[in-house]
Amino acid sequence: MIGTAQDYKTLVIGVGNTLRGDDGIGVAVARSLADYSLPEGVWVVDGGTEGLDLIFRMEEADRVVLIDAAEMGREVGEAMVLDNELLEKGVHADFSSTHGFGVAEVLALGRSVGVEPEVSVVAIQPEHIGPRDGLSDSLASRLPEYVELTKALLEPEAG
Amino acid sequence: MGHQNLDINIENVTRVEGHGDIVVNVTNGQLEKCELRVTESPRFFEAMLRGRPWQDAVHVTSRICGICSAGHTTASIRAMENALGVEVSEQTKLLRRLMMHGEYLQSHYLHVLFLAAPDFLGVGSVIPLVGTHPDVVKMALRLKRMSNDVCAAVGGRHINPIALRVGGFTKIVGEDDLKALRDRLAGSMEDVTTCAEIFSTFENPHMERDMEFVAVTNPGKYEFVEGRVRSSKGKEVDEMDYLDLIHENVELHSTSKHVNTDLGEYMAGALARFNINHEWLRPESKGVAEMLGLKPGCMNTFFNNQAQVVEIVECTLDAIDVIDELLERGLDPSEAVGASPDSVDWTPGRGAAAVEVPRGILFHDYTVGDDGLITDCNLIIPTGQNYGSIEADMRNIVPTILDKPKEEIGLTLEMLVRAYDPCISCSVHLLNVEFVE
Repeated sequence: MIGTAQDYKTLVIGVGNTLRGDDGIGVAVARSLADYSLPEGVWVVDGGTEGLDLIFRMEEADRVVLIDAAEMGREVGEAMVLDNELLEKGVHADFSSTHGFGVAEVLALGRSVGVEPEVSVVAIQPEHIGPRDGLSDSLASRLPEYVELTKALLEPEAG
Repeated sequence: MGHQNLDINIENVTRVEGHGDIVVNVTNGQLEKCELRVTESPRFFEAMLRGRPWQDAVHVTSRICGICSAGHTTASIRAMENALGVEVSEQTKLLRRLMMHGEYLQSHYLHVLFLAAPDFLGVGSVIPLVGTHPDVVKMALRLKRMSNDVCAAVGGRHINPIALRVGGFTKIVGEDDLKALRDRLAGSMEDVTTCAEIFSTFENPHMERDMEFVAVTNPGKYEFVEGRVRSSKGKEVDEMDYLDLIHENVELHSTSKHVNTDLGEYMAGALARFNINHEWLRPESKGVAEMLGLKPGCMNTFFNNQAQVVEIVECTLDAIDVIDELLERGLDPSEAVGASPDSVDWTPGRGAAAVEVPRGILFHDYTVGDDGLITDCNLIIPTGQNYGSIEADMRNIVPTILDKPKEEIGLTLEMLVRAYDPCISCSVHLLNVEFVE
C-alpha cells in the first residue's frame, strides 16, 4: 500500500542509533515489546534514526509513545514519562544539534503543522552516548523495567 | 577597512548531515588558515568488506548513508555486476532509474526546503517558517512524503531498499501502485513550480573562481545512473578507469580523505551535473534554470541550491516518463529474481561503477576472488570529493568579505558549506531536556 493510513490508534516508536551505545535504548525497548501480547490497535515500530520521516508515522496515529534516550541531568538509568505539557516546556527544538531532525524537532514541527497526536515520551537518562555496539550495563540491566513502564502506558485505561 | 585580524571557529556547522567545523584565521590582513575540519571518526567500510562474500556488499554498503541508501545500493550492485559479468534486463534498469529519482526528490527537497531555505528567509531553522510560511512547510512535508513513497514502492522500503540485489529485483512493483505514483508525481508539478518561484526570489552571495567539475555523462540524456566520467576541463574516462581521472589523498586536519584530479580540487554534485550535462535537460527544466538565473558554466557554488531545484523538475518529469514506459512495455513480474543471490551465474574479477547520487558521483569498486570473497574494495563518496572545493571557495570568498561584521562572515561561510549539501554522516537523536522550575 502506498501512502494510506494504517489501521492503528496507538503507535509505539523506539528511536535511536543502536551503534551509539545508550542512544539505542529506545530501539531495544521496542524490540523487547515484540515478545508480549499488546492491546488491540497498538503497533510497535523500530524508528531507528528516521528523523524527519517520523512525522509521517505520527500523522497516522491518534496516540504516540516514543521511547528515547534523553539528556535530563538525572541519575544514569532513571526513566521518566514526559507528557505533552512537559514536552512543550522542557524539550528544546533549537536545531543546536548537528544531526538534522531529532525527536525534539519532529515534535515541534508536527505541532506547528497540525500533526499533534497525544504524545508520551519514555525518556531514559543514558550513561554513554558514542560509537559502541550495544547498551551500557547500567541500562541493559534495567531493560525489563523500561519495558514494563512502556507497557503500563499501553493499557486501555492508561490511554 | 576590513578585519586585519580575524579568528572564526564554528564548531559543528548546523543543518548539514554530520559533524564539521569551520576554521578561519586572518593575521595582519593575511589569510593564514581556511579549513573545513571533519571531526568524525573514519568508519572503515572498505576494510569491513574485504574477506566477506560478494553477496554481502550491497547490504553492508547501503548502511553507509541513511539519505543516499538507494544510491549506495545501486552503485554497489552495478559495480558488483561489472565485476561478476552479470547483465540485467531493460525493466531492471528502468526500475532502478525510477527508484533513484525517488531518492533525488527525497534528498533535494529535504536540502532546499528544510536546510537551505531558512538561510535566505533570515531564520535559524525550518521551525520559525511555520509561523511565516506555513504553506511552504506543509508543501515541503507533502513532497518529502511523496518521494519516500516512490522509493518504498520500487525498493520495498523508503530507506535501505530491500527489493534490489545483483541481477534484478526480488519483487516487481505492481501496475496499480505505479499508476498511483504517476498521478501523485504529475500532481506535484504545481508544488514544483512554487518551489522554483520561492528560490527565484533568493539572492546568492557573489563568488566566482576558475573551477573544475566532474560528473557522470551519457550523451543524449541528463544522466544519473550509468555513463562515463567527465571533467569540465575536458578529460573523460570509462567508469572502470575512474582512477585515471581522480585520486585520494590524506589531509592532516580532516578525518576524511580529500580527492583531486591532476589539476587539483574539483566539485561534484548538482551544479557539476548541470554544467556538464545541461544540453540534455528537458525544456521545462531549462526554463526553470533560466528563471533562477542559473546559466551553464556557472562558477558560483551557492547556485548548487538552484541546480538542485532544476533537478527536482527533471527528476519529476523523467520519473513520470519512466513509469509511462514501464506501463507501455507491460510489467513482467516473472522477472523477479529469488531472494537468494546464489542463483546468479558469475565469474571472478574486478568491477567499478560511477553513479550520480544527490550530492555527486559515488564510486564503488570491488574485486572478487575465485572463492567468491571480496579481495579488494574502494568506495569514494561525493562529500569527500567536495572538501577540497569547499576550502578553495572559502579561501576565495573570505578576502572579499573581510569588511563585513564577523557574524556575517561566519554565516556566509556556513551558507557556503550548506550549499554543497555535505553529508558528513552521523545520526544520534538524543533529546536534550532542561526542566524550567
